[in-house]
Amino acid sequence: MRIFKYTSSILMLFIILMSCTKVIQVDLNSVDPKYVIKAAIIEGQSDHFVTITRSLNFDQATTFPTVNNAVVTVTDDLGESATFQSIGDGRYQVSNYLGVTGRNYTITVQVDGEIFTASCSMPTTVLIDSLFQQNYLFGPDTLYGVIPAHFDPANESNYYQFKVDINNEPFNQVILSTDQFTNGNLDVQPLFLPLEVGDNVRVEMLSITKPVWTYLNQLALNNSQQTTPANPISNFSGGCLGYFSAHGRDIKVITIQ
Amino acid sequence: MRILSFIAILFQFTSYSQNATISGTVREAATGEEIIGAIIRVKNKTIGVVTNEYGFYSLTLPLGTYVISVQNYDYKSIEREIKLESNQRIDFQLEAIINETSIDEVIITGERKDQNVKDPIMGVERLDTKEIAKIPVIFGEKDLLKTMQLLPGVKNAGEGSSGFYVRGGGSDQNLVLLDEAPVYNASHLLGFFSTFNSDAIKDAVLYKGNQSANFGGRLSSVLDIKMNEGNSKRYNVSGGLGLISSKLNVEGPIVKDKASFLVSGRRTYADVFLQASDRFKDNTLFFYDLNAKLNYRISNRDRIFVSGYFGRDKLGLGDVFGISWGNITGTVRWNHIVSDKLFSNTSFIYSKYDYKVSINGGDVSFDITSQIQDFNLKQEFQYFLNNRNKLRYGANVIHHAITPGQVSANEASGINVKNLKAAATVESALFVMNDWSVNEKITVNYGLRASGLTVLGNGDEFYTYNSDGSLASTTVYAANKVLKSYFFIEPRASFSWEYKKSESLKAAYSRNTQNIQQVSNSTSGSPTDVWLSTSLNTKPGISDQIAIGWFKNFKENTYELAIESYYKAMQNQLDYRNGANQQANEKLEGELLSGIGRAYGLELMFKKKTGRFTGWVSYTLSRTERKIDGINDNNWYLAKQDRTHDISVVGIYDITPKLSVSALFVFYTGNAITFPSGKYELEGQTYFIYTDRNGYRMPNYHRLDLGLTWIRKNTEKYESSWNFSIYNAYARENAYSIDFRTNEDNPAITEAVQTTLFKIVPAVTYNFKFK
Repeated sequence: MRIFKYTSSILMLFIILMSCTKVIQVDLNSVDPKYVIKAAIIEGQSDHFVTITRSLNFDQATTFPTVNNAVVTVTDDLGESATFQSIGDGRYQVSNYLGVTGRNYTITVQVDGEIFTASCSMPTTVLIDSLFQQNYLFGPDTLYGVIPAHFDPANESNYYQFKVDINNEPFNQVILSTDQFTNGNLDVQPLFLPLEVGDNVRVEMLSITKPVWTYLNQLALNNSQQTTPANPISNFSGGCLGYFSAHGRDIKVITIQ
Repeated sequence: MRILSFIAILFQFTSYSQNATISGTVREAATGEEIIGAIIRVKNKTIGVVTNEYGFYSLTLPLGTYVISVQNYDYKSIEREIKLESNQRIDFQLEAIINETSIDEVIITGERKDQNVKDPIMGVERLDTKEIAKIPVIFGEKDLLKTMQLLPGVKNAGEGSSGFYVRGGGSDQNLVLLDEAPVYNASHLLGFFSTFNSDAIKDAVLYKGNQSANFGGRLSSVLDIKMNEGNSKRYNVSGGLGLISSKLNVEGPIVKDKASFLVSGRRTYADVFLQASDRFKDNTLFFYDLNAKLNYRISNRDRIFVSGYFGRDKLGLGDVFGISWGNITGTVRWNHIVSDKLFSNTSFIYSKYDYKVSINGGDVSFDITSQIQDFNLKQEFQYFLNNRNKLRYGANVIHHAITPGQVSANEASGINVKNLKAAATVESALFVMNDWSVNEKITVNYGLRASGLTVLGNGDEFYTYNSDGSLASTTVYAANKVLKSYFFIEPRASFSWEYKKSESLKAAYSRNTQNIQQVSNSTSGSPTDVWLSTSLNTKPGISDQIAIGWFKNFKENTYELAIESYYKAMQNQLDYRNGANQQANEKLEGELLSGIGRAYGLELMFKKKTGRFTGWVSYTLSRTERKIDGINDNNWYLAKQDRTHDISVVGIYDITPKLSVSALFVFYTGNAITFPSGKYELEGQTYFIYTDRNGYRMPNYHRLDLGLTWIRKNTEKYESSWNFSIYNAYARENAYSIDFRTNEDNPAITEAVQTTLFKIVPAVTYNFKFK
């Protein structure tokens, strides 16, 4: 449950009130560059994208090298396949390939003699029923939450990711949810965001699979600084970073009042 | 009964001459509190016995006339001539040596001066609560657990934390007992304070893994804390005003010399400061503790104790978020002197830890509660077979009920109300042990603990899992149906050889098992960390520890030196899977991995116990590793609490009887930690690549604290004192955490940021007492 994270953050807040920080030098090992693949097939869409970059050492300037010479193909369990075209900047695109619920997709990436493969089944797409605003008062402060209300299907476990843009800027935090507490109900759990009146908020709700949720949850745990971090387990075989997600998507927009 | 015949073989009744037994209790004259560990010795003979934890002794001698001496550390020795013609009951009262510098902490850590050399039990640390009062601590809040962290083999769980690790074990592998009742969460407010109000504590002993067979249930240590019993002679009111909290302690007789009570309370008031600020005035942040004890001597032979502890933390942001957690323990004990050689102790113990998270956010309002509750029945006999053999045997049955996460919610929230039934297990144990003085030089403590665990059905769903953690089966079992049983034999033995006066060699072996485990990979420990019982899926933790040691006292026991080394192997150690859903997850067992661990080290303790200058130097060299399939490519890795070197130096100097100063220096290698080696990008966000688990180290930690205790007044009726302290006197910026992030101004740069919690923290406390 997302709210659990907020309570542990409150505990941390009291520590932070007392503490001070400074930038230090840490001598870190280097690591061989790895391919980083982000691939997605979206339900109901016919254009899909794959991004391939390479990793860097910690102390290198953050301009991640892009990979434009890969051969990327997709096939599903009915044998329908297609090849992605490189469109530059490490991005690859396929058109006229419809994502369909229930199908199992396999992505294969061939680059410089290496092969990376991942499979993912398209889960049920859950739609945002309505997106509305909720205010929470903290003494003199108001905290704004937006609620992507959605009807959770009762007969299965559902996993969600929320991607948020505030005034066309991506809010860079992995926000995840499950139906662990809300199975079969209208889920009205809020997203707490750093919002002000007048902000334009775009919420993209993705219906994802459990392996993708687990991957993203480990990324979120690594960022929480409260646990021992570890590399998330990719669904790609072959030893690259990143993941392949077949998912449903629904988008709604709201202006904070 | 095989056990009985086994016992019979072990003890041979050597003497059939005319013997008689004297037995009774030793008490402190002023307060009537029983004295633990007082020595009753026969003058001009080498025979002596020690009082047990209820102040009882039993000494058997041939008929005749003797001079009996009774002595104890910090008390005036007494001698009495007795004519032994038949079995006799003799109670003694000892007067405390009036030490002007001690402000009321009437702590009776009974200990004979060369106990450390003679006692075969290894890895034992006794905490002197008088010392605790003088050692400087953060916020001036004297704290048993923080002082304990200055001892060899004991590591703290981070800056200012009262959490601790013993000899490489996890923080859940310490059995913390308050009047025999397990305390499941021994810390307040993120671990900065322990749940033990030191004003209410009589005695604290830490066993570092080689505890004898009467203790069981945890792999690494037992911290056995006993509450004060209350003055049975006169009323006392004492208290303290500190920066963080205030305390009040009331004790006195109900029926003089027969019944007494003690009530001790403590509450913090950080929230009062929050009230003063507009921004934080709607927030809550406090904890309280209440200790209470009643004891009643029904007769010469029977005594009843009732003690309880209630503590709670509350934290809240406005009306919106709230979290509270706390322990409740209760103990009812009946001491019965069955005969002049047989002492019985029957205890009924209740223990509960729970937390509650409340969210009240408009449409979405709900509570999550979770708890662990124990009912525990314990019967123990101590049989003073003869002056060389003291037998102890007994049985223990504990019923655990763990409720993982009840959810209650308003209807509009869309949250399903969950009323999971508690998971029930029954832990049982039989034990027998003997303290055997083979001769003047060799002492052996040996015993066996047979322990079992039974998993019971509860009318709710039970899950089993495949090796990848996915659900394999769901079955509903009827309540109290026996689903699975585990059984273990835990041998324990320790041995001491005083090959020369005040010099001994010791060796020990112990097996321990643990059925209630906590899985936490959080760095600081959270009140919502889950306790899990051994179940259909998880197996009991097992540890085997061997230890050897050399002990020597110098200059008539003024100086003590102890060098110990240990090796511990652990099985069925739990950790989370990668990406595990850890939040109130009823299928949590599917998110766990299990593996093995090992820990070894060398510990050194040099201590000066008497004189105007007292203190100690403690040093630990150690290594702690884990190997769990699914973590670190299935290779051995350092546990997060691994520290190579750990040094503490403590000094207390009494300038005058009313003024004393103290200093404390700590140095340790940084904990093992996982840092990134590389970075990559996913959807515009930078993430890090990790290589070896815990392959890096935090920076070395060091710190100096200073303290001053000034007794302003000490009369017949009234005492008052001031305590000043400075934590981290030279303002060392120790790393609490190191985080890696993208530079805010230049996204092309990633940087490491160190967080320091406390620079200099001065504190002052005022203590008073009406007698």
